[in-house]
Amino acid sequence: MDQDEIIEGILASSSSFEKSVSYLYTAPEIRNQVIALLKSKGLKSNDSETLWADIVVKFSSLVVSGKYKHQGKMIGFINNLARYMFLNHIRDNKKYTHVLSLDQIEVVDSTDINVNIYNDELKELFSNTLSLLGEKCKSVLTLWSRGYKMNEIMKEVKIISPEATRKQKHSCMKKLLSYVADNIEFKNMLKEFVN
Amino acid sequence: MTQKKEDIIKELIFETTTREMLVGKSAQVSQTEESSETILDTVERNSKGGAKKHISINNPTKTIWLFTKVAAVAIVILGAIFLMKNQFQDNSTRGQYATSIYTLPTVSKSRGATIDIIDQYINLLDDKKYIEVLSKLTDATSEKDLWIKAHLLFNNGEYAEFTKLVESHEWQDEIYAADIDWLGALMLFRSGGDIAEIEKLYPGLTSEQRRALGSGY
Repeated sequence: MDQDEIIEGILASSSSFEKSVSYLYTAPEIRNQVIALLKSKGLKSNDSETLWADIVVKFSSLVVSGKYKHQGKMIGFINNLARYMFLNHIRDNKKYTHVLSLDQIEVVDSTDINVNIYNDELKELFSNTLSLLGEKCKSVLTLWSRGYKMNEIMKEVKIISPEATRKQKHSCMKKLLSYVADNIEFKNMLKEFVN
Repeated sequence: MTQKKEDIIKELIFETTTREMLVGKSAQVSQTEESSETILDTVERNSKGGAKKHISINNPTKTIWLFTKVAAVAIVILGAIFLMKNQFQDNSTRGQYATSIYTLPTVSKSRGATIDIIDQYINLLDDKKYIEVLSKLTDATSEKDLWIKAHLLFNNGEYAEFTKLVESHEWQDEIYAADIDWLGALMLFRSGGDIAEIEKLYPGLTSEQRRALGSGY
């Protein structure tokens, strides 16, 4: 799988998305290079592995949201993202959020985007909150977050119409936000990103 | 809800579910068989329920309809199981091929002043008590011990541990380094890498190793 296929796969259907992200996560020619970079900066083996998963997730997120402009070499961008996330990882114990501009580090493809790096505590809280939703709600929101259109979600989750899918997404989101609102700690963490 | 808040929630959903997908993938594969059994149990229970209704309803049209429904559900589930198995077939075929061309090296006692942990357990290796040998190599530090440990992990199918070990050590001995590269090439082959990709990443493979991998495509 070359870099074009990975990007296309991340932007494509559910099965291609999972295949491409998993490929990126396990492909030794990319993985080994980034992990070696993290280790050379003094990160332990386990932490490097964990951070590598975060880097793949963040990279996929940038691709899906259109913030990654696929112009140069993908590996160059990933290496820069790794350096950036490494810095945040080091600072992470002190503060919840670190919203920095990518132009503060050496960037290959794009210099004008902001990347939100969520710390482990926030991620864990959100994961717990998300698990309170039913499977169907979680599937609808997952596909929506991956940029699926309503009729595509309708087919995947087997809902009767795009309109019903829209309503389902709206009600799932409402439910999720009510859980978020009930959790003061989480709500406060989130404020730092919204403001 | 503001657009910014919605974007953040969307991003968090994406990151949380993608991470779960990445981290939980291997666990899901190993649970596939177990889940299939549970599904079949459910079908069996449903079939039994269908039979009961047959007695109480005593209406041939409804009975046929009920059995048709149960049969349709069973066919759909069996179809899904078949598709899931096919999905993993490619990798498992490659896995089988990789296993067929891989051989655990023969280990001989260290010469000279160096004493390695493995020297004491060569008889266990000869008796193919690999798991027992692995347990003796927990504190391995010498390159020879780490090398054989890597082989035992690979041979035992403990690929995550194998990768962790190989990545955490800088191989000094050229022979060990080349051998570990061969294991890395086999790992890449297992995970679906093509021959050009493998050769590019492991240029030091012998022609015999290249041929062996090439025959697997």
